Amino acid sequence: MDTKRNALTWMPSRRALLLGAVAPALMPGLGLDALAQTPRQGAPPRKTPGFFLTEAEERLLTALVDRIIPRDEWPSASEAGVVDFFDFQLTTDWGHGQGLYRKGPHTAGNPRQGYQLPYTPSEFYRRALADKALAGFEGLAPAAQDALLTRLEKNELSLGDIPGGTFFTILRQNTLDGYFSDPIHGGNRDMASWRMIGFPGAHAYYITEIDRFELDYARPPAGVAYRTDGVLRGVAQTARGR
Amino acid sequence: MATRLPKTDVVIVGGGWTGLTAAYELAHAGKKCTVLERGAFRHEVPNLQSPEMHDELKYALRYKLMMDTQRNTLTFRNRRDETALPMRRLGSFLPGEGLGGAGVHWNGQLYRPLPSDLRLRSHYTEKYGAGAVSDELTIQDWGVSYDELEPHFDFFEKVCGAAGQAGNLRGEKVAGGNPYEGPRQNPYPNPPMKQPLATTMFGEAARREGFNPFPQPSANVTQRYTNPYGAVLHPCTYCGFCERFGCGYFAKADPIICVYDRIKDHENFELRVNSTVLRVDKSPDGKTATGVTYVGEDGREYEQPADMVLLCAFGLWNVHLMLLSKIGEPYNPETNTGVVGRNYAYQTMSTTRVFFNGKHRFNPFMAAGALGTIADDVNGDNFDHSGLGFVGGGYLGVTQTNGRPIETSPVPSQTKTWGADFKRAVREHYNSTTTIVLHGSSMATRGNFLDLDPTYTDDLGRPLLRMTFDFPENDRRMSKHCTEQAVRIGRAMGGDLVEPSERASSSYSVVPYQTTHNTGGAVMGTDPKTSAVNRYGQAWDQHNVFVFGACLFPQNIGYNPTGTLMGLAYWTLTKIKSDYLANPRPLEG
Repeated sequence: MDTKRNALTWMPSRRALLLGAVAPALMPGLGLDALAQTPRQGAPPRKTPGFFLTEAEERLLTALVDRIIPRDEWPSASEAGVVDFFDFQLTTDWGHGQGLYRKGPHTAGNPRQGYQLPYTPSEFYRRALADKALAGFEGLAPAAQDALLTRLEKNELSLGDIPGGTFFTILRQNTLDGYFSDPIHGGNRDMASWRMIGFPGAHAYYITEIDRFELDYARPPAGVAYRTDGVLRGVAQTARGR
Repeated sequence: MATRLPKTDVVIVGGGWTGLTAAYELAHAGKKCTVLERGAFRHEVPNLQSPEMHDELKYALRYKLMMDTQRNTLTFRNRRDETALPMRRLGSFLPGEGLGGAGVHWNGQLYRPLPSDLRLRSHYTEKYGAGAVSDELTIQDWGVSYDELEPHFDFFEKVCGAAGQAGNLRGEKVAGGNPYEGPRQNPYPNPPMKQPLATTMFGEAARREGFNPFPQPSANVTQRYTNPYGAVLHPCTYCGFCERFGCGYFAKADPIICVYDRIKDHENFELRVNSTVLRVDKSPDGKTATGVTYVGEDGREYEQPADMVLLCAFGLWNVHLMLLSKIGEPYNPETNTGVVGRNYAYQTMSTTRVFFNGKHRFNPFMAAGALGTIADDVNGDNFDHSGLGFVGGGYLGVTQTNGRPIETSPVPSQTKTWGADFKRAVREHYNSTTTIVLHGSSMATRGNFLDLDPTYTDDLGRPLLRMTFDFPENDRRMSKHCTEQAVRIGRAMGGDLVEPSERASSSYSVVPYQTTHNTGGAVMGTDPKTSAVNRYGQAWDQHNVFVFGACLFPQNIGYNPTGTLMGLAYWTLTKIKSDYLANPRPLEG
């Protein structure tokens, strides 16, 4: 069967996704009934505040991530929910600095010593997205957007005290994080990226397939909480642990 | 002011493979053992169950099972004339935290060292002459032989239910195994892993090129199995969520199911989690340890007196604790004196990508931590080193460990790493690309060492450990030579494009993941001037302190370290039980 057909059967709907699928899956105490009634696939956009991003930041970030992963026969980053992913991630413990050593003094060092800025991810994006070097980015033509991103990538441009190369590397990685991670985190809507490359997802058990050479493994992907056919799996457990 | 607790017989710092094993063995020898683990309690049920465990973002990218660098990390620089800066996020290596330690998220690639690895300097000097070892290197013999350790390697393979093919059974070569391995008294307890297409293609091409491929020895178990402690393991499902994850299938041997579950109810065993040891306390004359001081779950300081102190943290943190506690003289690279922090080494990795441009379906998501086909022909001194200008080597192999999509976007180096071309290339190459790894040795030098940082501190106010490390010239040459062999096999596999990438072609960076095989810093040996502990892991100056783990390695071998360090752990524990407990004293070297 061809799981790659109908790659673009829906339109972006970031707020609907957040309210309809992501938040309940991560909140303890919400039963399956409540979840089953929430809108998911193809729901209309809802005008409600995001968790973290302002509308201006959201517009800019949409333009940025869609140059990292543009639309072709498969969804672009923002169409797959990557901006929702950012919005949610930046409010998590990770967004507020978990796993990041924050004591000073802060010195630039060399690239082999890694990230040395004082900012948590939420502080980092808030600062970077407000920098004048990115002002009006969303209004540029794609070629001009790519040219600016290339200057950042090559460290020819900085965003205040954030080196362009540092911003580009982190933006690119977090865009891939959102595009390819489990949909419970808000990106990879309808598991489009997994269908694109043929990754079957979280429900993984290949004891009888592992040594079948050249096997065309076409099972639709399944995430931690959902299968693409709408069947709920293990939702009550997703809130467990840290 | 620390609260003084009732005395225990043995206090054990760290609840991973070595700490829990030490507790098991010494509790059964009649000693009250108290394990202090800095991280939280966790267990396969309920913490490691799938599908929740199969969340790549949470575990592989956000490191939920690893140490929290917000609280404690180390500082890093390549050279002494640079200023070390904190490793603010995990990257190059991933120490664990919580019950089971790094043994929970390891891959289970389970090797023994070569007999010649354990007497490295003597071996090269005897075979190639006095000039074979360059002045750059501070490599040395381990002080313990393969024959002495063999029963302990054997036992740990049984604890893990290791799956593999013997290559040398009591001196007899066995077809299909590693012809270079030291003699083993027993075959592996379980048959090898099933092999998928990519690893099979590697094996066939390697054989055509004159190499001797064999299935990677694995602590991912291949059939229902009961270990010597009574733990039951189940067959690996090839789920592809192994390294960086815990195994909810009870199929990857780890310290929780293999050891902890079998000792947890014993009257002589006690575990205290969320307990960070601040220092080892010493007697007024400095000749023995009196116990440890730690910060408990409630945030208060406790003094835990004990007859014996076992350092069983991840190797780096054993060294940290020794430096903080002044167990042994700190290494001074200027004068080349002192021992603690000396001979830090790592692993010299290269990867050679083999692209087939859509011609094969490798299904990389069907995978396991220790699923691979290996060739050991360029490891150790398995090949003639005459005139090569380096010592050491590494194994080559295709290991199909995962196809998780955030971490798996193999695209040719000519392709841009973002944009439309990148996206198309990921789609084209995801399922038809494989990688030949070189898992290379890492030789010790005078310039690579561990000490205390003068500037940065952890959340408890203690100086961070400082790492000074770069790839030695010896290892750069080794990497180049051995990676050329990987390219040769990659071409023989029929790849459309074969692209090598060597870590040691530039200076070491603490950012990209390489391996969690940090070794040395508290090396074992027979000379107190060049080793921090004697050949039993016993501190030279405080005879009731014993050190475990890869920090004991005088330099790093071309294999994953767990099999070797656990062999050493059982060697030490056997000596403690059979000799030291009845007559505590400095053991003869």
